[in-house]
Amino acid sequence: MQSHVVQKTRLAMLAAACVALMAASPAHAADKIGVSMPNIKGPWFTPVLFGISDEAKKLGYEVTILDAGGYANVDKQVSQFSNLVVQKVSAILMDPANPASFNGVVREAKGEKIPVIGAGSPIVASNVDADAAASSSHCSIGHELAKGAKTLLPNGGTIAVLAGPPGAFWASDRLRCFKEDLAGGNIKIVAEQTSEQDPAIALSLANDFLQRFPDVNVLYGADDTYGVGAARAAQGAQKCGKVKILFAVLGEAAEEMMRAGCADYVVAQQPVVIGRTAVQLMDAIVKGKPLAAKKVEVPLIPVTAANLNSINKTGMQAPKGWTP
Amino acid sequence: MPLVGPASATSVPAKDGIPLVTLNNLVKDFPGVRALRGVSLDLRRGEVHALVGENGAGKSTLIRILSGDVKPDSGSIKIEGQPTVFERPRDARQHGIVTIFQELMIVPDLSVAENIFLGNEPGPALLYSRAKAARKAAEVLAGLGVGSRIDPSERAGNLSTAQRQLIEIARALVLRAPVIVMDEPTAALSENEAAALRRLIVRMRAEGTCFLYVSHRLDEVMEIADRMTVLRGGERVATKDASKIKSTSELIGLMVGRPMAELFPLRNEKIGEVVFSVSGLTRHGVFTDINFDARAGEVVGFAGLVGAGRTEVMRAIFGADRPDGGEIRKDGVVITIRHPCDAIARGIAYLPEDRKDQGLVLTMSGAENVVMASLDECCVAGFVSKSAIRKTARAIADRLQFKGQLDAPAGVASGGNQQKLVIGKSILTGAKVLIFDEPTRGIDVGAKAEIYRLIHRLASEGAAVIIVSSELPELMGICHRIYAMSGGRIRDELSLAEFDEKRILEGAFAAHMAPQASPRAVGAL
Amino acid sequence: MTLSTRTLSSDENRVKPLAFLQRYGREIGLPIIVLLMVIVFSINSAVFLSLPNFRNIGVSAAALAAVSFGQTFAILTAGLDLSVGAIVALVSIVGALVMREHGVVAGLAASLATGVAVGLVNGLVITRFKVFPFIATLAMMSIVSGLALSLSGGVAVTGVPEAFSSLAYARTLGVPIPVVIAVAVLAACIVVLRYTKLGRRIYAVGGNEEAARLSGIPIGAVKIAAYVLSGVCAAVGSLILTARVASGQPSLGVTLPLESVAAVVLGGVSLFGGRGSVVGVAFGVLFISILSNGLNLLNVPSYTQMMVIGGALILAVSLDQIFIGTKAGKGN
Repeated sequence: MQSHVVQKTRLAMLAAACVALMAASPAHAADKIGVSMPNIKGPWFTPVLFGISDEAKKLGYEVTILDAGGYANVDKQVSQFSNLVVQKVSAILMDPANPASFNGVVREAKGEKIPVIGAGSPIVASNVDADAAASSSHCSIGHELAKGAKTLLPNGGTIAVLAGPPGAFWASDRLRCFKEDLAGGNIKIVAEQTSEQDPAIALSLANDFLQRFPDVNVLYGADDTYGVGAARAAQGAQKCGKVKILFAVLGEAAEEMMRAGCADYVVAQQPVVIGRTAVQLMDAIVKGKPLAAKKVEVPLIPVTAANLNSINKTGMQAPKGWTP
Repeated sequence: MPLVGPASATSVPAKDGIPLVTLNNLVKDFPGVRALRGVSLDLRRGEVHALVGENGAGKSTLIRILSGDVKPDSGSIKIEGQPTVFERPRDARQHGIVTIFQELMIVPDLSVAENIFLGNEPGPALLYSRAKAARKAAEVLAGLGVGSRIDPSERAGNLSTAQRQLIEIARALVLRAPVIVMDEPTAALSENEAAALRRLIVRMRAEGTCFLYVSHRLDEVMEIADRMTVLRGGERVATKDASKIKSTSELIGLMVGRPMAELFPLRNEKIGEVVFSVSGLTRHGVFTDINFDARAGEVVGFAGLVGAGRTEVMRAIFGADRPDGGEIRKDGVVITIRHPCDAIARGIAYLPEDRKDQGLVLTMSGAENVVMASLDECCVAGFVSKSAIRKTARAIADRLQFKGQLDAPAGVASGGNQQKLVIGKSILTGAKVLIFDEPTRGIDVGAKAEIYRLIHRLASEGAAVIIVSSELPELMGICHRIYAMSGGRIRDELSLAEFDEKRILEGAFAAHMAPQASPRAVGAL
Repeated sequence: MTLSTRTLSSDENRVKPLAFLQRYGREIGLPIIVLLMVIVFSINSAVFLSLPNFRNIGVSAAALAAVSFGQTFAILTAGLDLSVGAIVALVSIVGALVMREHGVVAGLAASLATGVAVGLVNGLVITRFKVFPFIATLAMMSIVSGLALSLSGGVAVTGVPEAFSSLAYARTLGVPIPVVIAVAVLAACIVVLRYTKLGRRIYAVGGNEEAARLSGIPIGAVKIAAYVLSGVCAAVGSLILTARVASGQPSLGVTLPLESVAAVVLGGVSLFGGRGSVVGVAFGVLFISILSNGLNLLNVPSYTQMMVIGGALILAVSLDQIFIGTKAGKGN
């Protein structure tokens, strides 16, 4: 009946209007840059994004941050990257969930003359070079972690490994170089398992390890999420200090655990510095200035309870309460 | 007009002397009941063989065996003298038996042509040829005499019941089936449509088709059957030539096993005040200015043609549809009904035309159905009490002489018993105004009599009963007053003394005789 | 004598325009909404109405389209295939592994065969063991996902030949290959559904299974065919996605079960079976893809996008009910 058609059309327009209302009208004032990350939250990505946002603001850029919601959502990240290319941003900073998947879209970006810079990753795609990259070498992290293991276990011992997200090259690189350094020595790895990058899952995995190997000496965490999970497990089992916790990245929670005596050796990266450096490199490229070096390695800082209070943490952590 | 001829390879060639189908000593058990106890039957070329019997006599089981839906536990089927076993419905079809069930097996969203060729689609190999299907469908529909009224590409769901039935017949025709089983074919048809169907059957019979005609309409059966088989309690009581049966009462006697008492009980004498009245009820395009009333103890009938708007009026009163104007009074007080629960709360109950789709939840037990509208009575502190349900349901079932398992799903009960469940549900709500819409449709003779007795008992207990029915004898037999509706308006009101078939019909036809157009009637009925 | 005669034919004629609207209203409504969306987004974003963006929409819609067309077969039989996402993951792994060792053609064959195999298992479980499609495909989803994860060790399978992955970015006549593939799948589905006996039987089984059964249609075989077709289409969708990410990913396609059902329902296919067309589903896919693309361009966060898509689905289905109504849905 007539009234139904009218009703339906009205509702359709209402729906369209709702969509429009929900849309944020972008202001096309400053230069826009895009940031594409696998994840947005967590002790790693938050400080990187802080570094990027802060530096970008200083230099007068508008930043669009897109995250895929997890390392598993590679296709989503590829899609989001594509979207940034279509928006013709001035540059894209990214950390690929899986470098092999980005060859096609990075080529597209280059085709549109959009520079692609690695932020927290030395590479952006397996077969296409990044225009620049700021990161810490994951292998170096692995070596530092090995140093830490030897420091904690001068007379040898056993380690259980929380290896990181399945298929994440940063985690596997770290572990590879870690193992290289320990080969032939008196430190043995008794268990090794990947898991999603989630604090609750890491805690559960660490508890599992403690159950299966009550006498294990060290728990290794691929990064802060895993390390803090392991530390909490040790805390819960009242084994702080008895089981040593070794991991990379010093976030807020990691710091707390160290002060509580439950985290023993952390190879701290400086994600904020990484973020800022990436932006600076980007700025240079966009403005046509020559680059001193295309790939910048940001130094690592080994942290223990001893030097916890004396090191400079501004390069490591975002200001309290900041969210991307 | 060339019609069915057992000419193609899949059908059964005719040979005189040997029946097309011979059923020998069929036995079939279902859990708890022996549905067929050694039934034998044969079907001959070019005959209409009627199958009659009360519900539960075994007719539907027999039909299901013939259609290949169910296999007999013992006994044999011979097609043209050759013993055959039907493993699945397709086998029955391939042997030339097509069954047209009471629930029409139409796929509503497919076209008419696609329904006609369901399972038999024309086209080379895996492909389907729309054009060929449309063409052949048009041919067969023309042969049935409805070529101009039914478009092969029309959506089948838009067709009326009568037209859908013709589609099923067309389906049988394109399969060149020599045997067509029809289950209650005229139950949902108007008189004209039923007559057209009967003429078609007679024509097809002349060309050699055999019909197994299962029906409760004994007058119809007497009219077109060549032979009749009566089933009772799973057994074949008799098979007689139609010419040898003198009246429907004789048939009823055979069906029931005892002489049938008077069908219609005496009317209730105690009529009280007006308890229910409707004035100016209108729904645009459907019905206009409906005014009537009903007294306590009275049975009021609504006669009319299909599409007159009677069901629509009752649905509006009950709150299932929204009227555009008018007033309803109960016990003199104006009431507003927006939703069936308002109506039930006011003591008004409506028994819908289609008891299976609208009156019962077939998968729930009989007991649960009966108490559905009055669960409060069976609750203890907000929780439903199973024993209370059983007790209440049992009480009502006994009162209504419900013959069946209250614990069994309502879907397995016979038509008459199902109707009793719906009536029981309404009575339990304490309703004093009961609206029955086609209360005895698809119910066998014995159960009909019981329903009439029930209606009168309800009236004598003080209820006002309103009956919508397409069977004039029924209305004239049980009502105190009859309203004739046509084209969405009430045309005439007759009191008992004035009951006259011709006058009622005139009222029913009024809209179609007036020069000005009547308000558009919805073809839902 | 009984009393009922048909009403005059003039009343029937007046019913026809309403019947027409009821039949095609759904099919006209969604394209109009899609058009409105395009207009709204064009106004709000400078880059929306550009060729690169449309190519983007096409590519991101292509995989969803293939999977949704397959899902249509299952839903038309009054069933459902919740395992499509898992099929995409498994095919991605199997395809990548086989391609790496034996070349692209072998990989394609293996991928399609995997889709067929899972579809076959789905169909058998539903027809032989009489498990409801919802439960059967949900269980298969778990089994197939686990299989994908264990075959891949939980890690991406790299080493996919460049020849294959470059297809995701290649174009013919300016149209991205993934879009061409999706359109080819659409054409194939239209042919199957409209011009083959199987297609018509799929509608019959969904529309009135009892009528189909009693007409001699082999219900089991038809349903199995529907799920096999769903599996094959999911395999094609997987190949498109796998090429795009140039690797076999064990958790590819996680959102596809929900999105494909949404696209199918938005496209006017009834969940009760027997009604609807794949062309409508194509518009459903366009609706979802254009919606997410537009929201992306306007930088609406992905979590808000999830809410919007869910809200749109509710809106679309309730419009369906208002307009077509429950009675028609039950085929009276």
